[in-house]
Amino acid sequence: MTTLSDRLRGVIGGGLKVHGGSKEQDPPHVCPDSDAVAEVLDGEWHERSGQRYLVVDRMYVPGYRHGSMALADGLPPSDGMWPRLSLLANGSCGSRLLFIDLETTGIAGGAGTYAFLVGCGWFAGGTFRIRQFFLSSFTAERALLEAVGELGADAGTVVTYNGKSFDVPLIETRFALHRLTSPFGEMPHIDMLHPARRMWRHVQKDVPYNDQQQDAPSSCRLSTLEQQLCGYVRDGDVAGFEIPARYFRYVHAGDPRPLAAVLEHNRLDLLSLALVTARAAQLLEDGPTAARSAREALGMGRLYERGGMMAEAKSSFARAIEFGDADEDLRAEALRAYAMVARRLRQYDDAADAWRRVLGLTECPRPIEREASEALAVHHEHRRRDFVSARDFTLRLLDVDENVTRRQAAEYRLARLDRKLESRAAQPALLF
Amino acid sequence: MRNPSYFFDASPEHALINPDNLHILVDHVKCAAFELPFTTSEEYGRHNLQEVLGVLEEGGFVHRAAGSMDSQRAEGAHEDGVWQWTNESYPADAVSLRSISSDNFVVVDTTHDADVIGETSFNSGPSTLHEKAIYIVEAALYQVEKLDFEGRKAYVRQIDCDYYTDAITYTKVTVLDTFAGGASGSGGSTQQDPPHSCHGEVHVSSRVVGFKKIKFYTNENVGSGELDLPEQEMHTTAYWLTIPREVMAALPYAADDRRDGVVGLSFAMRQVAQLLLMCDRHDIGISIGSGEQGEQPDLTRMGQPVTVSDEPRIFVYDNYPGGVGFSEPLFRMDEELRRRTHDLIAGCECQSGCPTCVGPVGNTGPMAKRVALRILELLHSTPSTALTAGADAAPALSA
Repeated sequence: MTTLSDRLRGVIGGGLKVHGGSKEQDPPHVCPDSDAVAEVLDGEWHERSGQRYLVVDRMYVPGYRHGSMALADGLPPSDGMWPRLSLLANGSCGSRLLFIDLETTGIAGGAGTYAFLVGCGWFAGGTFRIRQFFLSSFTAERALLEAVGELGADAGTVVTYNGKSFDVPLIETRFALHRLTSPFGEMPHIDMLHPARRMWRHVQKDVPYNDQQQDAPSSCRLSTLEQQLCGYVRDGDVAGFEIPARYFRYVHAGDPRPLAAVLEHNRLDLLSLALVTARAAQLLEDGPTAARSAREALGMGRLYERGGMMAEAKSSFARAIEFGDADEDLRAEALRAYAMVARRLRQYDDAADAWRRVLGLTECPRPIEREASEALAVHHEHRRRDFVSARDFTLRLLDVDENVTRRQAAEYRLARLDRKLESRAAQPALLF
Repeated sequence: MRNPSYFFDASPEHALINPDNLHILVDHVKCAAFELPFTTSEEYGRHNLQEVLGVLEEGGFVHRAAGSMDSQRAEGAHEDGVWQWTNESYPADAVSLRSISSDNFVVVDTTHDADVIGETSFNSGPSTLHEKAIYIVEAALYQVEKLDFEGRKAYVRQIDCDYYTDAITYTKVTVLDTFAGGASGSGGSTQQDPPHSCHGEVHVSSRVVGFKKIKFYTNENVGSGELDLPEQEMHTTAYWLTIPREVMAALPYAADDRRDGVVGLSFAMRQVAQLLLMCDRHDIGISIGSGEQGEQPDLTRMGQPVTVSDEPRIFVYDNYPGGVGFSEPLFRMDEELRRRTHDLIAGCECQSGCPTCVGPVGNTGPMAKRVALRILELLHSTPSTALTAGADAAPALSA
């Protein structure tokens, strides 16, 4: 007769044998609360309601260099706030930025995914401070979250990288499971992933691509970004997918050593996040002329546009168009953005000029070519009353557009223009 | 109307489930542990939950952590540990609502472009998606051109034909553990237990060895083919009927006819069992063998054994890994199963076998009906080992 355990092993199958077999060889169970953890991770124990969790504090001075960028280059103005930072948030944002990055036991989310490391960073008196809360045992989670909550309560804006869809919802879930109120729910939130994508997605193209990084050159991961903006290349960094396994190893066998690199990874992420945010804020501060590439100028224009700063948006797009490094697609996109802003500013001739330049491009994306032809047809028919040119642009539109409804509209326009041209030709005869 | 009493005198229907199927239970425990940690004193279901969690810990799925989650609890709670989920995966992702295993085969239609038109569970893949099988989706017929067993894909092409295919599966059942029944069974048999039947845990290995082509509407057998597919194995639960050596010896028929009788009887028992269990034909499987390890029967005739052992066993097993709760109730209905099988065969108007009773003649041989009935009658009159050899005028079963 087989025992229940044997039958269960058969059911669970697979990798079990490896684990079960090596059980005897595992090092003796080390108590996770032993001081070895604090020593290896270089932190100190904090206690709250009888539960201990580990806190790791670090301070970075202005002279600290992250690649080619010194921390001093990334410090905010003396009042602690870049005036145009709110352009990066959806709406207004307060001062006292709190940078947050979590390391978790998985990416699934939900009740069984824990944030075993809550990394927090902030600027203070010309330095950058990092405080990491490490979940040394699951029972300490409530105490840890309370401590994070207290730190968060002082902040005015939370800054993350992809935190809108991952970090913040996850930590909110942890707070909710303990019936605690999260400080991040109502707080203004800058998720740097989105502005970074706008401005720097293609920056990587002209820089040597590191083979060890598995992501494509067009991706916008934080580690790729810091390489481009700060010239910082991480050495011996932990791959993201490895992180949960290292924590589980600590939980099951009590070995904290592999976690030291995870904490360092988290600190580097926070530093990079702060410097990337600073770079974006400074760019917006310095205005369109500060842009160093077409993509950057275009991204800045979009941010100004969203924030209602139309004049800055227009000159950013103009700068993007003039950049030599722009490829045709990017230039078409910039011209289109320029034309749209010009039209909103009622500078119709500027808009028409941009649309004409779109049509002059050798490799213009079809949808933009269609849009340009239509806009020019409208412009010439209604504003310039140049029916011949309007007719030409309408014909060009019919050349590139395959959408049935839009083609019908264009044919209708063509018929109307023909009528107008006829009546204009007939008018002199009537007069005499 | 042939059996009005079946309808009018029947008891309300019963539902048979097995909430303790280990495969399902383990998945449930994983999903539950993800959502909220179990405590170390918690119980759930018939099995020892703590033992389940212990084995899950061996696999790194959970971790036994000391102390209680809620720090406000009384000091007494300190004894109580919790089982924390310690795996990256989201366990509910791996649970299939349609079958026990989430492993499956996908069916790819290559008639035009490659389109996925369906999927089947891993267990039923070989028998429904072997090469040359006819696969039917929304009344359209497809023929399987290639089965990529490793890649779990079957490539099919639309076809116009007038037959379907039926896989011939050879199944070998080995008894692992007898839960109850059988005069000679190892399990704790009681006075009330039927003398020739048992239920318990079995190992089933099955292999699709060929297929038949069956014509639509007439069900004529219009051809066959051989196949060589990997063996599939599972642990499940089964009911089985042992035909004692004495009964086999007492049958006044040739060896071939005796074999046909056992095969025919198993065919009829399946019909009745699926009625009693209120299940689909595919939910249960039938196999004939001695139930011993190392037995290698000679297979030629449609995947069925050429000979049967001196003391054959007819297995009716749950066709799902871990069992879904059919075997024990079937064991409890043993008498009804045998009586109804007898009535089905005796009451069938066919000459010597048809798909309703012992199976079509071509399948089972001309004497199957008569021999099957004789076996049932001898079993009925043989509560134990005592048996009058060569009793030609065996007492008929009361209907």
